Amino acid sequence: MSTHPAKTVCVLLALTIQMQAQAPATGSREVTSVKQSFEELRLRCTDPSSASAQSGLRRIAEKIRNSSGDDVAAAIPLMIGALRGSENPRLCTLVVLFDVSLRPDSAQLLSSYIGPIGNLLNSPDERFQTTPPIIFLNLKPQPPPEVVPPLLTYLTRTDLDPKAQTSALFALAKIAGDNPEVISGIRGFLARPLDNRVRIDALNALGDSRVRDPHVVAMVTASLDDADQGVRFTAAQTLRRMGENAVRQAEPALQTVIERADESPEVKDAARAALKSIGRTSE
Amino acid sequence: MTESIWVTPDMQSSSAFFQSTGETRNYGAGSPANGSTLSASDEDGVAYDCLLWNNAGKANPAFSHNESYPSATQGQVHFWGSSANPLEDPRATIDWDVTTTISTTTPTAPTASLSYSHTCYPAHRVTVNGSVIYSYQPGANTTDYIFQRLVTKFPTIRGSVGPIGVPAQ
Repeated sequence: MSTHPAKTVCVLLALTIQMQAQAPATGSREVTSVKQSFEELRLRCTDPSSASAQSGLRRIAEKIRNSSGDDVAAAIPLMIGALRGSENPRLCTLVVLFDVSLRPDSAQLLSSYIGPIGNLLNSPDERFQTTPPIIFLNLKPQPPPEVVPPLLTYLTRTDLDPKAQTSALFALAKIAGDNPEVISGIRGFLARPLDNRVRIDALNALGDSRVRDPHVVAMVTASLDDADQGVRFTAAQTLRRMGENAVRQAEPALQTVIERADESPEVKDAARAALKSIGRTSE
Repeated sequence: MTESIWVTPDMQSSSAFFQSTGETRNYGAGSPANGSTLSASDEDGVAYDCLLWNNAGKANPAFSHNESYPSATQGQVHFWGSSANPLEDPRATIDWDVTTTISTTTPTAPTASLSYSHTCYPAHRVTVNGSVIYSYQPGANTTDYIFQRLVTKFPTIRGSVGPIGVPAQ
């Protein structure tokens, strides 16, 4: 520390997330259809960050939430067509389709459009590549099986930035974590040379109790020996999130982590938390 | 997420870099149990059942920083990074790039200036010697707002502040 405390300064950057209950919008007297609202929005979306576009996005989100399934369904072909337009209206359309995916009947509304939405995975822009996995995962009451092939094809491509592909990994682990083809795709992805950041993202994506394959668990367990502390920490946390069977399979490796003399306290704590989840306590 | 550091411009030195992330907790159907905000009633301790408390995780804090000294009485701190909720899509990232310049030309009246760019979610705050020199609050906390800000990345906040007076340590 400084010997000149009068001239020492502390710089602090803090980022915080505060979730608040949102009061439902009330009192809307609009009679325009979702389709009309979307047509208006496209005109405003030459600059998606403009006040006009933002206001339009808020209005259509509310409209999609509160309209009948038939009203929303009538607008979807127009939305899908807009995915072929210029960049900024396309970005607005991603947000609108995301709003549709939040509806309780979204699987029914979007099941005929899995192909065109999945085609966004071929976009050179990462923002467009990231959207289909998020929309597909949202589909309610559950994502239809048709969403798996485009996501799996995308995940297994080796000519793409693996950082962007972790979105598909996350969605596939949750949608079809027990599907043999998906497991094969996950194993292939983990076997690729990944930098630490991507490996951490991939491990976080697999932290789901639906991923039970022993080979995948073994690959996650092997990351407990990675040279990077962040990878080791995330691997221990992921094993806990994968559930009891994964932790039991990895128990000897987790115990080894705890016993390492030169291991960081954070990694040891994560390993202890995993073992505690199956009733083991260790020092 | 938090990054902090002690800087002594006159000595051209820095120390005690600190970075941290808090725990993310995921809640399912039935939360918030009291109808308005999370409480002890939400903590059922049963993971992965999609009811009440469901899952927890912590992002790995591997953020970047660099300190430089433009003059004998100036210190410059550059913080930047990218991080995602470990329980959500890994590409929905919070990104920030913030440079703070501290001047102690008048030791009893130091000043700070700031240039920044960051995603429009979540709240961001920069303090110097306990004094808030920059604060940003997102416009909403709804799911579609977060999607817009962290996935489609529009718009990104950019700007500058100062120089403004900050407390002497």
